[in-house]
Amino acid sequence: MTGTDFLALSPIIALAVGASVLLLQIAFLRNLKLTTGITVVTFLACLFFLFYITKLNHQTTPLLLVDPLSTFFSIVFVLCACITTFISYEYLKNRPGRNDEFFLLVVLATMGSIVLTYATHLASFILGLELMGIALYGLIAYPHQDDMSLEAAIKYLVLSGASSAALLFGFALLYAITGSLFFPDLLSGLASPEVAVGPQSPFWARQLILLGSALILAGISFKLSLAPFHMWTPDVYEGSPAPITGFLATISKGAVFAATLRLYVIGEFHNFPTIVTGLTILSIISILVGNLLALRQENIKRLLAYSSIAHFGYLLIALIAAGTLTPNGISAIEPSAYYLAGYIFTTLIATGLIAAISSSNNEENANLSDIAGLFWKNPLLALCLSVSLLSLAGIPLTAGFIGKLYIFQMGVEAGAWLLLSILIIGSGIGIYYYLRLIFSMTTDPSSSRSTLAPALPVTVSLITLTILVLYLGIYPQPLMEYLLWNT
Amino acid sequence: MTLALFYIAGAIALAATGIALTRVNAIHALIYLVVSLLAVAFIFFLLGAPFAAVLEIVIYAGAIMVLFVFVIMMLNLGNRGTVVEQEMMNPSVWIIPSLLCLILLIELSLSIASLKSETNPIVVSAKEIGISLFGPYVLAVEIASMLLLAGLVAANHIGRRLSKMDQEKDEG
Amino acid sequence: MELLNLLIILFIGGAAAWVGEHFSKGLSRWISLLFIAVAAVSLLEMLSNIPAPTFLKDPITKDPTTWLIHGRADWIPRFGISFELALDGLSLLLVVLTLFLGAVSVIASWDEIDKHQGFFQANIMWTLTGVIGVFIALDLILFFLFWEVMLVPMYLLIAIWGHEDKAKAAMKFFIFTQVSGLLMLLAMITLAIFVKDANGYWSFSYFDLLDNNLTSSLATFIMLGFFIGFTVKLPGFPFHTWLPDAHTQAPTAGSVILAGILLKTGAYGLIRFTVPLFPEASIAFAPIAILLGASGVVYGAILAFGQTDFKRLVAYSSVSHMGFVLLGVFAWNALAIQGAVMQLVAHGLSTAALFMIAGALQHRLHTRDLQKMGGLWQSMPRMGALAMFFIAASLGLPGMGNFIAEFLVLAGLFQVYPWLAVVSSAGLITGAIYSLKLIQESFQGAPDDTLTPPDFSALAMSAMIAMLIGLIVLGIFPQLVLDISQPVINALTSEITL
Repeated sequence: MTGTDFLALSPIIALAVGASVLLLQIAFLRNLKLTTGITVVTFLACLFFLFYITKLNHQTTPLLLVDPLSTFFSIVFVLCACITTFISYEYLKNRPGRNDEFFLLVVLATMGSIVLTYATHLASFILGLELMGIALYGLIAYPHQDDMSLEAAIKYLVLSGASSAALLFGFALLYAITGSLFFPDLLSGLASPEVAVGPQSPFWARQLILLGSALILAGISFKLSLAPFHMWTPDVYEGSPAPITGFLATISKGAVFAATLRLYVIGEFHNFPTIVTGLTILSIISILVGNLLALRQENIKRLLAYSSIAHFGYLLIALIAAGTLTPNGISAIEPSAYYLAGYIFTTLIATGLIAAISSSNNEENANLSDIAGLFWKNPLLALCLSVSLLSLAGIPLTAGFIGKLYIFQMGVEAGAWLLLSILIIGSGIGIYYYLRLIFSMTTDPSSSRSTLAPALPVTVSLITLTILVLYLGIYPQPLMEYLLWNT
Repeated sequence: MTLALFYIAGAIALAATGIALTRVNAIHALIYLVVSLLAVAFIFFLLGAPFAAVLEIVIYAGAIMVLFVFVIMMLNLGNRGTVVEQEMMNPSVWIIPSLLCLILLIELSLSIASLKSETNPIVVSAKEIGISLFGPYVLAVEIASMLLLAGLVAANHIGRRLSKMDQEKDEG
Repeated sequence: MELLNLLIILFIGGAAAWVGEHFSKGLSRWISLLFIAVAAVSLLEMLSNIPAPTFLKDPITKDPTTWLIHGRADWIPRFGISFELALDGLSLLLVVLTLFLGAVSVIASWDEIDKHQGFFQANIMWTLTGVIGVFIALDLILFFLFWEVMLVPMYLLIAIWGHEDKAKAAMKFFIFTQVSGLLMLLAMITLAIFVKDANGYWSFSYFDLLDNNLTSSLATFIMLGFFIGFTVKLPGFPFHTWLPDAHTQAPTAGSVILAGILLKTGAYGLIRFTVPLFPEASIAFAPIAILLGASGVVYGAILAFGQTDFKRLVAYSSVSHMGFVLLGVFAWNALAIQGAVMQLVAHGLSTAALFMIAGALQHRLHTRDLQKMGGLWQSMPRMGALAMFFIAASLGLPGMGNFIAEFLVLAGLFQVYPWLAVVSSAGLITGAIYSLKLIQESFQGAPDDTLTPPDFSALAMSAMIAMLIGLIVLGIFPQLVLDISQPVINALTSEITL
């Protein structure tokens, strides 16, 4: 290990140190405020190191590759984790029982997401995934006297375990074919003459690739909750504590997508028509199922769960189109990274607000009726949520529009007319339920009992996120250039 | 000779797993699972991975399975579990998944058979494993330690809560 | 980039009106009026800097320096998207109309809106910002931005302050426009990518995209994307179904803006983008478009006749009148386009006034049902006389702007499609029938003694009189408006011949 190695790993080390300090602190002195403080300091230190290494491009052991793109993703995740911490403090402070371990698990889950983002090796991929997953099982099951969260945790545990098993089996098959777990070697392994997996290779050898990729695709689709592997999503989102719903919908999914993106691009999987066909089918089903099922939801968490299914369907279009545009599929990175960042900030506003509502109502869930009259009771937060919903709907001036612009551009250049028409249909349906939420906020306040006045850090976090979403929508050039130059 | 041993061990593993699945009594099923794991450990040994074989015995067949046996005994499920299990043995429950798995298995066997296999497996010693674990894969070990920490904390929290709830129930 | 000031003033005006509510209850209305006035002054100031002969000279469509005002700044160079604003005679007319009707809509909401006044005014101002943005944006993505952004405040206007069935009407309005907007966005991107492949660089600028050498089949598809986007907003038959609901449920100021200005963005888009960008495809498509226009004229008139709801009747009459615009645009000769432009202005004024009367009636009587009205002239002579006047204008009585407009359209259309012109003139007759029905059932007839609502206030009167004078001037001296738009239309028709 050289100095550069340590520099490259500094964000992860910062989180590990933070986790250790938290562990000791909880062992000796239970104090929620102190725990929150240490967690925030940990995340800030991690952010500091991440900003310090934005230009670094360094392979640290075969396991992790630190490059500007993954550093960008990590910055997004850690920022969101930090905001999740503020929201969680509000959520936990009035709850009975010992709540300190919550933050320890949040730090560990965030660490998992960074490992996943930096992974260039199937071993680190699985380790990051499981680190995040195991911390999340604990977080989902965290609340007291709530059977729903236990149910959600068990559902997540079992299904996520099954999908990890599928993923591992797929990786094993890849290893059987290529003899390597290292992403770049996967590419050469698949292309090498001994394996010779090409159109002229034996039928069964090609079948093996098909099987392996099908298993991997299924495993990843589970984690990204793409239809038809989405069944767990609404239930788990509904049962989780509200801040963790946000974590699941943003960081957890984002990290899996970032890692998948890297695997897809480095391994040049777009060369396999069966994978691209599989992705196309997943994308179409996800857009339609997500949007259609979201229409009837009264529970905002479930609504966001379905909408996130649809959004990852949109995101897949970039991956599918990339293969036709550039021979190495590298053009997938810029659009999907932009879309993902916009989606994460946007969704975190909505889930953060739900967390604030559920903390003030002392109830796990927020229904449409709970946000009635928000426009008149708390115009600032209502504006934040409106911006978030409009961004999800892809209205200009928000990050969501630029994301959609990218997807349209990719789709048109690749000539993916079928996917684009599905995208338009999906967006049309999507507007209905996003507007329904906005409409609820404008109705008469008398029908709702909650008086929403979250603490200052939460309000500031939500406003910061809103400004970020607007900034990404109004002045996207800097981030576009950053992503373009670093791919 | 090696080949014959391999097939015998493989057959034992498959048969034991199959029997483990069809037992109605959880303890019986677990014992068969232990047998299956021992057979797999033997296969590892034959393939030139003695360290993996030992780990398989010590950790899976030893620690984890014994833990399972203890937990099942402690929970004291009695006949209730057996009845539930018997209901689940209904062919309508397992016939379709089994068929799908069978198709997958046939496809897999044919595909793997097409790969050019190594005739002389290289023996990987414990020392080599140690070196690679503390060489290129040192980070994996570290991340795994964090993973275990997460598991520990989560299990501690959930477990404590459950026992507290049980106490309350007992008192109430 | 002085045109940007216009947008900034209106946008800040909206924010100020929202904040102003907290200081004094009626303050936000005055703030809105003030900022509209400031915007008008700043527009005048911009125009006064332009030498007079420029207004009469034909601009070259592809050369922005020959336009009245043009400014451009990079915005998203990654995709060649720029912040490009420009003004020519056509947009000037529509911007002036927008500011004028904006002030009218503020006055229309004066007594009607009680709840959340500040936010209401803010939404009006932001809608105006969006609409003016649409009229002056010459970068396609920027245009699309304003096109979509103006929907949000308009949606809120209908959804918050609308009538009994507001949620559904607002949703229908938004989804229709948004989905057709996405089709248009798809068309824009496809066009830009095609031009990029030919030129080697990204650009969404109108002036760069005019020079496209699209293959005819591709051009037809892209043109259809634009056409649908604009026709839904116009609204042309058969995409008009959102309009009666939205108009009926919107608050008065919302209806005024919707009918007076928002519909005009669709017509503007057709004249500015659809035909000039895809001349050949438009030629091929013109017969269908004209057929749709003629169907709109007749169908809208027939449906209007069947309505018993004051606002719904006026809404269907809008469908009929906007059909003339579609006819005028796709007849594509100087006469017909002039008629279409004239129709935009005249219809904007007359319909805005009718909706204001409808709103005033609803505010006083709590109904829009014509069968519950009758003899209102007795108690509200001023309103009755004005209603008579604007209904007469709307049915195309000579001497008023609408007559000039429809006459020019029909005269232009006759040169290319004489038979369709004959069919469309039937719209004039049916127009007279439903218009007279409207006035007879509301203001004329036996007076009902139980109904003694108060007449128009002085402020409302001043707005009505202003529109009245406008329509008469348009009818008697149409040259005033024709002169402003003539150079643009000359340029367009000489460069593109269908």
